[in-house]
Amino acid sequence: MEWVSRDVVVVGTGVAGLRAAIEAALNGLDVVVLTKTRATCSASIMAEGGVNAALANVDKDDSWEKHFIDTVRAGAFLNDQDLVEVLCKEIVERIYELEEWGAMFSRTDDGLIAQRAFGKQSRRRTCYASDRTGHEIVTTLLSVARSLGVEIVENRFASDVLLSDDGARAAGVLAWDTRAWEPEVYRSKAVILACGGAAQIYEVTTVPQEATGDCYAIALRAGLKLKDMEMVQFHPTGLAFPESAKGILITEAVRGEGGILRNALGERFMARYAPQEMELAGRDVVARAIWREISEGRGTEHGGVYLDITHVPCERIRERLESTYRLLRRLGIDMCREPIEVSPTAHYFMGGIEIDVDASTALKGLFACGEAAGGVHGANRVGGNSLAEGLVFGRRAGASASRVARSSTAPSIDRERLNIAIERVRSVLSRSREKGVGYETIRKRLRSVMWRYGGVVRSGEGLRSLIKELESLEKSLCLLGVDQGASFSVEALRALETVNMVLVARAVAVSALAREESRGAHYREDYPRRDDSRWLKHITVSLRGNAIVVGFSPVRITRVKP
Amino acid sequence: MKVRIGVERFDPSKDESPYVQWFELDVEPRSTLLDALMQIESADPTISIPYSCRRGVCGSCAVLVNDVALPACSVTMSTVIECLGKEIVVKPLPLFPRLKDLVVDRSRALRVMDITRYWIHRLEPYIPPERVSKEDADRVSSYRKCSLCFSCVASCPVASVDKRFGGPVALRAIAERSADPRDALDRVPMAVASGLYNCLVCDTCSAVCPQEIDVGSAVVELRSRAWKAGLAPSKIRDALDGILDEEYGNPLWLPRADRNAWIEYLKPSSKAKVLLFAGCMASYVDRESAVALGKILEACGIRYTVLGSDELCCGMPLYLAGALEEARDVARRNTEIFRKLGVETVVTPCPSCYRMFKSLYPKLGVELENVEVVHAVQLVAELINKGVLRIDKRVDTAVTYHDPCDLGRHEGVFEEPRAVIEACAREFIEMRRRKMYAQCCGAGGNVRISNPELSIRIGVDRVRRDLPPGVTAIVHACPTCKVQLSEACQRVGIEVRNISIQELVLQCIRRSF
Repeated sequence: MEWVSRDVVVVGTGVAGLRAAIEAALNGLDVVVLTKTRATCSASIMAEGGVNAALANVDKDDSWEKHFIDTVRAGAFLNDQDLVEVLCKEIVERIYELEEWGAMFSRTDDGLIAQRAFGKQSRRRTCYASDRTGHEIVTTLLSVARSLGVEIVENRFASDVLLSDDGARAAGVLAWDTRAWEPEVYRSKAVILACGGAAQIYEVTTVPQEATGDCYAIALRAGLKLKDMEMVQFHPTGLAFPESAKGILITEAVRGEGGILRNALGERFMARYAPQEMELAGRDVVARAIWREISEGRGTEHGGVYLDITHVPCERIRERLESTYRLLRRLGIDMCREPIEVSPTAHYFMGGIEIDVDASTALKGLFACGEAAGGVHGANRVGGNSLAEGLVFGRRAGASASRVARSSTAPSIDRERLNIAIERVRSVLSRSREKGVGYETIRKRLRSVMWRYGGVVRSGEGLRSLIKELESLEKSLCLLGVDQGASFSVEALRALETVNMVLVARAVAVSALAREESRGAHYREDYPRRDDSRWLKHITVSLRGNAIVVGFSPVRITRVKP
Repeated sequence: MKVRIGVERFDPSKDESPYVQWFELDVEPRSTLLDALMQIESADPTISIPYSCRRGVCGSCAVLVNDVALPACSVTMSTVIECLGKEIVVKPLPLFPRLKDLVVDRSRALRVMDITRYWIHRLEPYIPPERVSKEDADRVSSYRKCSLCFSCVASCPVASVDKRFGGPVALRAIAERSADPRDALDRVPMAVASGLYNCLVCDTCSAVCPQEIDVGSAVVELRSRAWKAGLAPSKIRDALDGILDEEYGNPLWLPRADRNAWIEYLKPSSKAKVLLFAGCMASYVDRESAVALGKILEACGIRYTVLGSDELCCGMPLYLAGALEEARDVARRNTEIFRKLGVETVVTPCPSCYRMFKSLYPKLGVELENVEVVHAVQLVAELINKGVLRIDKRVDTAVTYHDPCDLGRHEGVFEEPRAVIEACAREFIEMRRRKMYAQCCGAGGNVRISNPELSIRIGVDRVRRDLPPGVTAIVHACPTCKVQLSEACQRVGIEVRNISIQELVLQCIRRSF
């Protein structure tokens, strides 16, 4: 087994992980970033719309306070306001720093960084690089990281955070070289978890294959708490066809530019759900409306509704929605001439690992940032705040980790825990699929039941049967086997991810059942109203043995009361 | 739609060599190549197939299909079938070490960023807010879309024979920095060192790019900066001098007086509404294709005129060398000649002249007013269609067709040549890579002038890899491609004829002369 020593280990190469690594490198530390596949595979790189920062380039009266209010309102006051304050104040500097590093944002007529309106925000605040903002930021960060000498190691699957002998500190990461499935111990003074969300537990999703909740699972196994796991954002418009692109995000900007939603009968159904705002109602409202149209049998051939922008001049479509237009054309769909078939799609996890303003977790030496962390977005996230979160808290995690790394020595690793962790993974890799069950059976079932009972619309009854189903899937995990566990295969990676997915799905289902109200992205048919008197608090989950334990924690309300 | 897909499987830990596993699938034409691969994955979950974002951003799913690298999520099966056939073999991208089946270890891709000194180099300290014009921002952004999938490099005909060629990824990165007003480094010498003049400007890279990045225009832009800086290779400068020299007017430095030799066999009118514009290659080298076109026009009773020794180069070599001012001058002169002649239609056997007149003159700001430009195959197809030209007999062999870049990929003329050939030959067999994914003959981008040896090696590569078995002739719609592939066939002893489509047609009509 290989042992590697570094000051700081970062898991994940999205915006948060890369920004964290850059901060550690700028502090002169020896930092390594691990990714289970490629450095360019992240949800961050797919982000389209933009990143919110109160630069006040377009609306001159914008301020971090207004950004704060918009964020907390959209989050239905479930946000930890100390985190939101930091986010809104510091993102301005993060944007300028990106520009200094070479990022090219779209411009206003007088050459400043352009800012556009985005759903549920009071000012034009969203900076963007056409509709490929995430790609622009990630590639900038990648080149900066490379030139600072940050070590980016691909094909490393992180399975566990390693603890110190006394169990009081993080001491490194157990990772697997997926090319031969050899365990490697990355011993370090600080660990940063930045491996994103888990929307792959849903059948229809916008996110990359990699978003399987690995960091949530790692944190749970390390004894940490996750919060707000019931808060999953569903984007109303994902592609319903073709199959390989199912769930792929069709940006809100299509509706912003005048796109109209119709069901299979040709009805403009939003009139029934939100007669004032129509297609531009909140993401959760539109998603539920489309969900209802489809589940009540008014959906299209491929199980969606029509998003029609054919009445807008093609010139304008091609200019304003450039990458969407190009993507669809390459898939054989001309959005200038025909409607697009869309359906709701799992998009983002507001919840995650509990952190404070320094991105510290409850475990000393362990930090979390980006989608892996929870608390910033509350019950729902405004578009453009996830890249902002990754940048701000990525930098903070990097700075905090640097402080810890500079003032301490690497703790020695608890060997017993290490061996248990290695055995847990080896037991999956060493079982043959013939004698057990392939990952695809479990994963397919998981994604399908999560979509049906843990998705856009939930009910107590549905969630209870979901939890039962998940428990039986959890039992079947002990049969999980692979064809070749001693050499590279996508199958082996997917099998190990599936173990994490089942755990995260259980956390989501249990949290969703506990919250007996509707708030933000969480909608309960049996409790359709928001209830601040009982539920203005976080639901937390942790792992005891193999059981998920529910708890509560107060929302940190520092500036604005509901 | 039924397709047969072979997936090359290989597990380095247990297999001695790669082998192909075949799958028969029924696919929707509008579904993607990734859909097909995912169908295969669910039929056999032990196959390793790379994909992540499913929408052309992350670059993971690029695979090699019949020697063309394609991002599987961003190409429809109907395109694959049209350009590569109903039976395809999918292999991993060849540039990286293979992990298993179609998955490669792409770690070294990140090094591209280092090699090209990708990070911005500012002269002045950065003080926000910084101002950049919309136009500059758009231009820089158009190059920053790259997802590092490397389909372009793996599909590049130059990179496949010349390992020192920096390839489209490097040229794209350099073009991006070169276009950025904030960047203080002169990137042009680096571009020249990375093989700027070895690019064919064939645009195969743009055709396979999930972001459709226009590397061809970037190359022309960089060459124009290099031209102004006096960094163009001497062979290029020499050839361009030939075009600009009044005594010659062509890049081949052949005497003006010889330019009308092909007309001896024809009876053009001194004044007509149709101008037969032969172009330099057909006037001097591949005269048969110009003569045959003239004879077809005569057979149809169409009056046409020619410029003979007054004909001037269209300016394409100037454009490709980035000598844009000079190209614009030539464009103005030709436009003036057409206007004075009072012609309504210009017909040319040369795709480069065709594209130059039709698309690049306007791009240079010169409009051909009231003149319609057609390529010979378009005219012939229309004459056959209208019944003016009657095909009386078929050539009793099997033939294939080579898509010229300027006619096919650049101008989208794919169907007319095929219709004509199918009417004239007993059997028409497609080349392995065709239409949008046809490989360049190697003569494009002035490479035949600047680097003849590299150029011919690409030609050889084309016939070796793509020529279908059992054909007796390659039919051409471009004099340059015809000359180039004739030489390539000769060099490796492949015995097929190379003829122009006009010559083929001429063999199939009853002539009154």
